[in-house]
Amino acid sequence: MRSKLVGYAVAAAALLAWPGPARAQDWRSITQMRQLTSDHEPLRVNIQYGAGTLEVSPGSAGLLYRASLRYDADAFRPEIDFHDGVLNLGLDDVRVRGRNVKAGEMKLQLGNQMPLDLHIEFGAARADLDLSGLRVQRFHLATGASETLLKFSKPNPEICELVELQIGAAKFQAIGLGNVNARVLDFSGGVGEVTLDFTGAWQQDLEARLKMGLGSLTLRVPRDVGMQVRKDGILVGFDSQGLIKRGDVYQSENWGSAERKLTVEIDAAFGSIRVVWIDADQN
Amino acid sequence: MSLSRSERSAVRLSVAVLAVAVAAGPARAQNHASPAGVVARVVQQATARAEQAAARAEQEQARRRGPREPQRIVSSEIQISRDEATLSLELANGRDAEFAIRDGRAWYDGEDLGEAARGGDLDRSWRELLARAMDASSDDLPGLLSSWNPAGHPALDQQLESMLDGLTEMPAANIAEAVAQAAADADLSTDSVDRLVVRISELQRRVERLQSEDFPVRVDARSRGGWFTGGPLRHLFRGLSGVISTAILFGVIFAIAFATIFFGGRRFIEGVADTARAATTRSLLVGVAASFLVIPAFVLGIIALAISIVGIPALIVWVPLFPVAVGLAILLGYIAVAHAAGESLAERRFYTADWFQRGNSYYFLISGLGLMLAPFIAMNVVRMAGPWLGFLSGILLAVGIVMTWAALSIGLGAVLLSRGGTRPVKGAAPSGEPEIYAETTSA
Repeated sequence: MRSKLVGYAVAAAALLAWPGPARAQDWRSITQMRQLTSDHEPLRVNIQYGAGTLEVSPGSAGLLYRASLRYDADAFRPEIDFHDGVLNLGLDDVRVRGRNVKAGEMKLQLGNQMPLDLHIEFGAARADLDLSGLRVQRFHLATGASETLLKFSKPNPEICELVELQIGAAKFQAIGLGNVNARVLDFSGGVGEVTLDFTGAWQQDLEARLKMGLGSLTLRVPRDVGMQVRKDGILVGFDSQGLIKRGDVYQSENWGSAERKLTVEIDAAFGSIRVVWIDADQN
Repeated sequence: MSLSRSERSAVRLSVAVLAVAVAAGPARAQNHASPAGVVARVVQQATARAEQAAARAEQEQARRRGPREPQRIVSSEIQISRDEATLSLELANGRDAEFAIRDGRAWYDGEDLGEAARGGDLDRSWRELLARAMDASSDDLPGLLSSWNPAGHPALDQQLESMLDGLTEMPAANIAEAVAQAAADADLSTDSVDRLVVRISELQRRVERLQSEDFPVRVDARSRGGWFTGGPLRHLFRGLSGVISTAILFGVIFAIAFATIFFGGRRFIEGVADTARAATTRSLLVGVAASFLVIPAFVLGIIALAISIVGIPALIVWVPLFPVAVGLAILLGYIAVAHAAGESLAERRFYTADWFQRGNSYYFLISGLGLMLAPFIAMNVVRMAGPWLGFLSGILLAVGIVMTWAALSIGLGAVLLSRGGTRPVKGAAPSGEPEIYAETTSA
């Protein structure tokens, strides 16, 4: 009797879960390209992306932007809107219940001749953001459950007024933060494995305010950069090798003499923080 | 009938020239005997001068532009889907056009260019071209598009060639200037001509302004802030808050149950739990019936008390206490069912979780409550993954709701049947000791 009941329950659950007749996915591709018409007009880019893969990279000379989207039209709704120097890009999920939805992809190339104000938000995405050599004035990044690689392989010619990184449950790597040319970096991490690499061509001192939830945080710092760490939080392991505790802060040996300085304020809980020193030849 | 941009420009130029000629007519007619001949001559002269002025303007434009170079595309948009393949171009001079194969037909700016069957030569060739164009750099794009040559289907190709090569025509903005210049060259500076030229120029500017406004290349307009209102962590935070809410609910119910047992209410809980286990179906039926009758009973009680002089003072007690009593009965029933579920769970074989099997009301409650709230926890955990497993979270939610409804109904019925646990319904004796003890003794 009991096995029959179980059988009925399983059958009912299977019926409820049955997504209906299978149908072909309606894949669509959109590519939009716009050339630069005025060298110094800043471009604000808003990206709001639900799920899938996201790539941002530098484009060729004379390019303003080139955006490519590939998506399942039954499940996503795209937005490419350029107006008054503002580019809005989005890929919204619409009808996904009961469907085996495959996530789409978005690729964006940005020109390197105009100042950029980048505002990127994405959810469950795998993102490769290469901002090398771009003239980034403001940068805001917010991610959900994602795997993100952020690269600044070449120096930013502009002074970056704002760098905000809000990372959710994620694996996050930021490479070449020394190239960002920013005075302040705000980082807020939820759960995950985070690596912040401060190598690059430092043009000014940097103050990094880091808030980290549950997870591991690795700071890769060039050996020739002076570093000071002020740590606050509960149950946080801090591997302070190469740092000397002076009062309530940790400082590198060259803190007083270094040409460029990195000041780090860490507020973390239930995690581990590790500092890895990078020699000049590895930089 | 829709006209292309070049056709519209030609019409505007002709209208302007004709207007200039007609307006200039009376001034010249004064010196000639035959009015018809004078008008014809003046029109001819004005037309010739306007053409010369336009040619000069074109030459000037060409001189300014320098050696002719490949057309510059400032914006392009390519869409490829199952049903359509569309190319939209905007050139540096402001000209734009859309080329498409859609629904088995070829289109140029909304103009039907003929059949282009899905999967046919033209459709395939066009899609291949657009696929290559998607990857082409902006410098390579004009050359790539110009080199396209579908055999046997010239219409779309011709329009594309025209778009890319046809910028030798005068920009619309210069037409009014040319007309004004023509009028000036023709020494037709009468007031009416001046006003006409000014008016034409003004209208031209308005046309250009209207054309240049609202350029958004919106693929699919939607209001911002809909799906992303809560930010990218929406699903994660929603799921997490759901888990925390359920955990808090668990804690609150357990705290009440703990307090009840601690302060001597164990026998009531156990009495109701025994009833729920021994007479599950009866409890369910009684509970369902009670849930339907509770409001009528409340109302009837009020009426009965209100119509009797003796009962009126009792209303003061009845009105507030009846809902409280019902609420307490439901809560007691739910806790008792959780207790019963914990007991049942402990009787199963959970070799790896011995703590489940300890014969303690607190453990029974923890495990039973956990079991009953597990679907909600699971649903919220699944929710954290985003909308992908929406159907699964829906099923879990439905399971949780049904389980909760059943627990509440059985609990209420058991409370009523056992008179609040004071007279537990005794069912068939449990089939011997729990199997775990049998396992232990045989070991």
